[in-house]
Amino acid sequence: MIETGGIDPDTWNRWHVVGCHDELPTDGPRTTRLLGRAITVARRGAGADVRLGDGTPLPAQIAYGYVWTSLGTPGPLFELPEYAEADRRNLNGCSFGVRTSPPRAIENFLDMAHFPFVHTGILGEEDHPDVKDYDVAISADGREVVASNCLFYQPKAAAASTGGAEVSYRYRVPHPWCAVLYKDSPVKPGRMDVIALFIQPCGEEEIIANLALFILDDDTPLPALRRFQQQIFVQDKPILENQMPRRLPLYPRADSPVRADKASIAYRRWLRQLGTTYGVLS
Amino acid sequence: MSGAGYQPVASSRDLVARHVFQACLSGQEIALWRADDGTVNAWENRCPHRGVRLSLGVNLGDRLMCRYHGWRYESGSGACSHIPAHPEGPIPATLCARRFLVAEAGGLVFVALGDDAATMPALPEDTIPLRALPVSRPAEAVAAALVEAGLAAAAPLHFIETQDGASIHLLIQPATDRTCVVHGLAETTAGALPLQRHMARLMESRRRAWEARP
Ligand code: FES
Ligand SMILES: [Fe+2]
Repeated sequence: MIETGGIDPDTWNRWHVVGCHDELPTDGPRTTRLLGRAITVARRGAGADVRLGDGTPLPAQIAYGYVWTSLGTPGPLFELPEYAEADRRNLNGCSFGVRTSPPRAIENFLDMAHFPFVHTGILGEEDHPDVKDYDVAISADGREVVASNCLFYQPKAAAASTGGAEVSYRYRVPHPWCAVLYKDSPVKPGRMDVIALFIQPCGEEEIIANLALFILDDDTPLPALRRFQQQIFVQDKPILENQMPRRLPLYPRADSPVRADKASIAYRRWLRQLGTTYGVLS
Repeated sequence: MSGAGYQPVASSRDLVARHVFQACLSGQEIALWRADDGTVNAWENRCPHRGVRLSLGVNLGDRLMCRYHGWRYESGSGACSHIPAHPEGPIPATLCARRFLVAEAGGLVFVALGDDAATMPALPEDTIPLRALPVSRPAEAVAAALVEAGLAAAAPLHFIETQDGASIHLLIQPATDRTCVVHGLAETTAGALPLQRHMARLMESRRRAWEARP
């Protein structure tokens, strides 16, 4: 038994991402942090060996190209069936350390209203700032938050885009610190690119954000794909690091949401249902 | 936080046109900005929408625009006047940047964190500002050192001394609980530059001594 140090049971017993499997060093373990503790992650062929700093072994699995571990007794990891579709390119777009809490980063990922101001000329434009009404719900089994029928005008929705378009979005939040975005593929009409944010919770105010791509784009070279994701992420990073407080407030009237924030309102409600106290202010 | 009255938070020269200056008073972060008509605004450095520092925002001359979702807040009232995600409105009347009392005098900007009838420090009419000195010591420790050095205290964080025949007002801004900023005003009209240089050297050496203390 590892001492929980007061970490809430939901957080304690979840699988958490601790790095991209492909990027693990081949010459020894990588030292990193999970929920405030030092851990090591070592490549073992197609698998991985994860341990606490004192050598205690932790459960480990490889899923969706990443290494996942847990300090507690985890149930099954959420499903991401698109990963197995033969015509997708699956890759880690980028990984960034950010001085913020895990849920602040998820909320930013679910937010369309910032596109025109933070990702000007790419994911949004100042003359098209309106967020049309969309649907949001916590699934009946309580396992995830889903936002659907989201429509937003984007000048350059993806690395492969050739011009502006009204793009439709769908979001899933199947894990408190993981969110998945489905958006119209600019290459294959009728299909959707999948972009996921997998957060490694190093500490309550310290994360590594991994942007995973599962996309229908065989042509854009890897460096260009990475550059596109990095360009977007470096625009979000200073915003995230200047949000106060760093932990996500879950108490009423902490700030002033509007209709466009429906997804974030549902996400906060869901965290309250899960009893999450890590990285939040209750 | 009441009773402290107006305390210095910046030099007037810090509030250049179309800029947003970040100050800190007793641990409270403040976004300071001057509108084109001269109005000085001192707001909590936190957007009421999703908490982003307003000092990252854009000073539009008569409004401040938050960097995250482009919400606009009016100079003076602090009222939110535009939410781009919902251009048709309506905007709740209570949606407002949190404002602090602010005043300018002698080339310094003063803020009162309490809502009570705050009082301004008594300052002479004609003064020139000296270079502000950030110190890695609490305001109380610096005040104690100035008392020890024999300076006259006009208020707990306001001292007066005479240097080169000019009277110098030193006003201490408690920034955080570990740091402060000493603002100086010299009552003089002639020989300003040599006095400013002399004071800069003197205050630097004082700071070295203060910060060397355990
Ligand atoms: S946080 Fe300032 S506009 Fe949203
Ligand atoms: Fe973003």
